[in-house]
Amino acid sequence: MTLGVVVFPGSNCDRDVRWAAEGCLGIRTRFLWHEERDLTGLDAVVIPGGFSYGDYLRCGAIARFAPVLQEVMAFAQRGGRVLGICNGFQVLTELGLLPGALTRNRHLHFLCEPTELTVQPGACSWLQSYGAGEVVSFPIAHGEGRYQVEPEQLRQLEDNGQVVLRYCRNPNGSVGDVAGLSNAAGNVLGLMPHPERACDATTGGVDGRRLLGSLLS
Amino acid sequence: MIPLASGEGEGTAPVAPELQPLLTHLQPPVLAYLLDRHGAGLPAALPEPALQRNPLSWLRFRWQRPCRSAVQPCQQQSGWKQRPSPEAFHHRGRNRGLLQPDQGLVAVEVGLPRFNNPCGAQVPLFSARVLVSLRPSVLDPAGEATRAAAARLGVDGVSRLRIGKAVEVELDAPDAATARQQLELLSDRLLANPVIENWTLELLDDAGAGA
Repeated sequence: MTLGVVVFPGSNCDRDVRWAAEGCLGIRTRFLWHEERDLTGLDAVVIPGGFSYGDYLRCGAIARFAPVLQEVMAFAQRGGRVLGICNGFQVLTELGLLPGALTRNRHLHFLCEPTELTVQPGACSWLQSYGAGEVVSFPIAHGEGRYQVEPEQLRQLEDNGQVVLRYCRNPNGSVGDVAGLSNAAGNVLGLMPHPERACDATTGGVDGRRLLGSLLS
Repeated sequence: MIPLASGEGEGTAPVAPELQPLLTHLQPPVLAYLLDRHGAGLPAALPEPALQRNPLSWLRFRWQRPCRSAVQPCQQQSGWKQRPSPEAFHHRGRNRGLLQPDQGLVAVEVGLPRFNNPCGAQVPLFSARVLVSLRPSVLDPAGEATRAAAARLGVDGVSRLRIGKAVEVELDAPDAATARQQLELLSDRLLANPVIENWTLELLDDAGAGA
């Protein structure tokens, strides 16, 4: 089991993901520099949080054209498991692997706090070890996490069971309290909260362990 | 081979008749500077390809000469006139001085600079401004905060304020239709995210297509 962690110029949660996967769960990780094209031997890919390419233009807009992401796109289309956390979620929406877009928080504040979320795993392979309706606590850390999508498309996503994570108390104004979203096949998950920061009991709880731990089961 | 300079070129640097062909490539002050600086040191002749080059390109002068270092001789030295190579810098003490006639200056073609173009040829250049605005259905908290500040400044009655981006683009393209097509692709796929933003494209300068 090997986990690829994409590293853009400006990523800052790549090492958090490595610590959570390797240090806490014993999953081997490999950093993928943004110019890399070789994903052989990887079982899953994480696009970590941070400020890829300085978040210039829009969050994730420039990262979308990174060579590694063309390979990640093909990897996801072959059924490979892809997880986008925070900036990674923004990249996945820009890339078109997930619908919608992430915009400036309603009150313009950068939010950095633990948040309670309701899980509805549906078909999402990353969340199979969580029960439906289970409440978990993950930290959030973002300034542009307000999920935005047209109402009819949101209804469609809800009907498909793709809205897999919702805020219990919406901190940023996301439509439908959306915190995390899966694709229809369930192999791609994007979420604004940071599960990798909830893997070590000494910092921020262990609710996120089962998310990355789903790779082992 | 065209003779370039004789020993009399030093000092006032008159532009000799045989230098006239170079005037299409070098601005007179540059030529005067070279003559004044190097006088007889200018190469006896420019290699023919240098004069048959693309008229849009500039000449830059490279120097080449054998190393005269007795301590640590190297094979050959060459570099840009303005910026010697590291090896040349290493041997700077022994090789100081003006170029000698046998130390050939070699004209080298570089680039196609748009600025200070001595031939005045036109290259199609299109300017455009792309305006990116949030779609009306999307909340603009930054605009709302700015609107609140407008009231604090004492400007009342600002009922709507939304913030977008203006992106100025300059683009080389063979014709206006291609330019427009490229700019539309750019706007739709990179500059704006159609999920949350609208964009409009203004081609500012179609006159660039005249070349």
